[in-house]
Amino acid sequence: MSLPQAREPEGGRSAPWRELPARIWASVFRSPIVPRDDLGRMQAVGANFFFHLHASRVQGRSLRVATTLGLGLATLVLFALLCSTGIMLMFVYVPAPEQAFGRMLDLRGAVAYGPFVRNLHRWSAHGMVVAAIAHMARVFLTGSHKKPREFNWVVGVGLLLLTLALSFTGYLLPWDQLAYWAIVVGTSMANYIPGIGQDLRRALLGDEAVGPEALLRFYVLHVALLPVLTATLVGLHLWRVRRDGGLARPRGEPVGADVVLAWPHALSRELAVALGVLLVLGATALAWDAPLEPHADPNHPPNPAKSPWYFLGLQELVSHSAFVGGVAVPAVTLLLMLAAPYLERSPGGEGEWLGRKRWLPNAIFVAALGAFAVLTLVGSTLRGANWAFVMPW
Amino acid sequence: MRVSVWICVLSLALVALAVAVWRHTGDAEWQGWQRAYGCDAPEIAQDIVRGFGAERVDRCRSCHAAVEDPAWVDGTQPLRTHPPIGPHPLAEFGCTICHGGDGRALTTRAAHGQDASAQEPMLLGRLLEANCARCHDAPYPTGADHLRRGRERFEQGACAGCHGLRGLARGTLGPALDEVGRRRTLTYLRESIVDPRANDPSSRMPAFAMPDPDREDLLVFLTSLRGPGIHEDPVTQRRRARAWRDAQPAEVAMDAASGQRAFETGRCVACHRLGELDGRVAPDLSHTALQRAPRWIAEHLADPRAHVPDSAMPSLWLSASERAAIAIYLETAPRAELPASPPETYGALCARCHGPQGDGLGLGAGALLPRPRALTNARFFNHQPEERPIASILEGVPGTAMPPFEKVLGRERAQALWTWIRATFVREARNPRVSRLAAPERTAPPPDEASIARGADTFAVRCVLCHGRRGDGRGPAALDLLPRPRNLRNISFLTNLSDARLFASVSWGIVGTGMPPWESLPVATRWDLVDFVRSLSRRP
Repeated sequence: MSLPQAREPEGGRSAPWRELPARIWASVFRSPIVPRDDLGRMQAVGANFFFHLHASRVQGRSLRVATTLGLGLATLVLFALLCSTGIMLMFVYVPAPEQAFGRMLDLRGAVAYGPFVRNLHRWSAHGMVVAAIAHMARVFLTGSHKKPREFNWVVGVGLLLLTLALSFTGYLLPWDQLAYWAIVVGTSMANYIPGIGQDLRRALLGDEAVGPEALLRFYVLHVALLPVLTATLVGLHLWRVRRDGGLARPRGEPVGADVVLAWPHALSRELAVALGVLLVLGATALAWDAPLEPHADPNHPPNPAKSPWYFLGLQELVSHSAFVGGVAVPAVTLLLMLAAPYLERSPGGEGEWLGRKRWLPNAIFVAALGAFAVLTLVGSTLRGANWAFVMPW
Repeated sequence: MRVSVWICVLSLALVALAVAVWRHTGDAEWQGWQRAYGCDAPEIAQDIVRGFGAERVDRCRSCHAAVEDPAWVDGTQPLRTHPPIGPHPLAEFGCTICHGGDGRALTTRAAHGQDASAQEPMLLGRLLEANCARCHDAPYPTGADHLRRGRERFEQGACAGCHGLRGLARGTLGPALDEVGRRRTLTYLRESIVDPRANDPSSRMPAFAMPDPDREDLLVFLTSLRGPGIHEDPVTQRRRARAWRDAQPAEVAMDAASGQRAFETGRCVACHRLGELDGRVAPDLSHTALQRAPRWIAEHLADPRAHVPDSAMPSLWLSASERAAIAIYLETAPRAELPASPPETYGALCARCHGPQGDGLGLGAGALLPRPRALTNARFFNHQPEERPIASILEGVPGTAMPPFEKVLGRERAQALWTWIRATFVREARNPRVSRLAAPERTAPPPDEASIARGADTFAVRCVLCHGRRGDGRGPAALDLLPRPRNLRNISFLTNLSDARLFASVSWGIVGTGMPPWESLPVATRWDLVDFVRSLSRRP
């Protein structure tokens, strides 16, 4: 690929300072800021580090709203938003039980824009879990995980687990009653894993109970290890999307019939999705304050003590049977999720919503997702003191 | 719509959102108050207080900017001069150490402890005195009069009998109160005093009659109980806790005078009645001298459940000699003359437990188990032998709160009293056609391990719903029944019952109570049940 050359200096040695801005520009951006022809537009994408994950030309159908609903990109935008707001919060937060909660109170009152940034971080975290699950549902229901994209689905499952882990580790940090007891309940479910459960819990908490060690470990996981892992896997995930030829296409659709340039068509739509996500989250953060309960008190469990919402379905199952909820269902679900693209070998249904050939996998997936939703709803709204069944009003 | 239009619209909306966020953050409450105070460049005012327990960050003066400005004496809150506080300069003490609330917060709701995240409420009015106890031991400083009176009320009331509180109370029946001010809200505490079963339906705490001002003072004291004060270093705390734990009740001389002192410091009349003093909760002790032997009284004080297994009376912290002295004092305490007529006698002796209407709902009835018999239960009395109620009046009912009245009344007056009760409360005449079956002679072989085991099996099927698995009268259906199912482990009561009477109760039930007849069971099985019930209350 030929790179655009900086313009030849007109006056030779006459005015080297006059060409300096152009040379600096050309050294940074290898294409003009507004490319004037298709070649320039393709180069704008291909030569830019941030854009090169795109092919310079994409399928027109990939850009239609109904194809992806923009869910993967929304998840990515939320991740970026979480990283940026998270770094802001790190300037205030101290991961020690004596200070953590006080810092939350400072954030709420005495730090400029503190409540807004915290709300934004909190709601984005919930939003990212929702968006990641929705993105996964979209991919499955359009058959986009099938050959040759099997491994990228596995990477995606890993990213979903990392998203949950990020949310879960962040849940403890405010060190209020809500945080403390959700983590106590959540980590106690690890005890049901046969063999390694106890050790896993101890390794995570650094102690027998949730305390200062757990807070520090969760903090390091939350701000260092898990984000780096997630960013790496996101890179792999996106790179493979391109390597696998962009989004999945229905079989037999001619290649190249419906091709548009990534610049400006894909980029403008991505910008629109990003702006939309920012707007929704910003408005949410402005309208609703993130919850903050009294300081964590290990002697006073709330009744009922509930885990974070995405584990409430499991908690509901655990309340009926520790083995089913703590071992069988999560293990089987995870294995099925990882194995799904390898189990489903017959071709057909790629790139089309609820393909008729794939009615059975789709039905199983929708049923599982529905069960997750119902169990989560039951656990969150219909369970009261002593985990007794109550009406939500 | 074209994508570029979307981008424009969304960008404009985002700009609008940013402006909204900026405005929302900009017009903080405290800035407005500082401008009202006359400060053009508002900034957060912050007192960092160290040396009183955990570090405190008090930002109260961000709104209350005029607390140290004498020109604002007539101002309205939050801009008002603080009244003189003498030895508590604001710069050293901050605000929340006395006032409570959340000093870090900068909104009224959060700072005044009305937020979901509130650690402690802001205390207002007389309740503010509760925070004096953070640093000051009793006797509290002048000005904390409600707190002092509340403590006196605690000391004079019956609280110490059941509740524990380091340095003040040694009860074990009720919850310890050392940190009750931190753990419970004011509303919860008030409700628990007015109606103890409002918050905890299984509470056995009596509803003490208490004038409202007394109760409010007591609440100030209870609010002040937040565990070890910040003025006690850990060494002092341990030393005091150990001294309190290791202390022994003093031995006293065995005479009526020291008995009276122990009786008064033990706060017996906070529940019981003696002469003019009446706690209106527990039985009348005015005639104890003629009803209970000194030995019985001393044993009852040592362990109230020795003679009355379901007694709600706490075991008081008394030495053996104090218990004996109290018994001596009760033997010699002055007694009022008894009125002559049966109705007046009933009012003086019986109404306290059996109720003025004879319905068994007297003053102390709620705390007594077995509950006082409802004298209006005509079916019950008309199916009992006529001599039994009189025997109960004369000899009392062992294992219950019913004391013997033989020496108090004499036989004739007891007979007259029962005749009056029969006419007034039972009312229904006996049906001459109902003849009570005579209790049979034992036909089964004498009891052995096998018959007890068979009885236990039958009991587990037929009887546990009411009498409970342990036979203690606390089965799942027990609370639905009045009179309550009998506690079959009540040794004092069961010892007085013949096997024949037990067999009769099993066979034909007890009319007027929830006990049904079990005539359908084979005779041998019924005798097995009798053997098993006997085995429950065998003396070890």
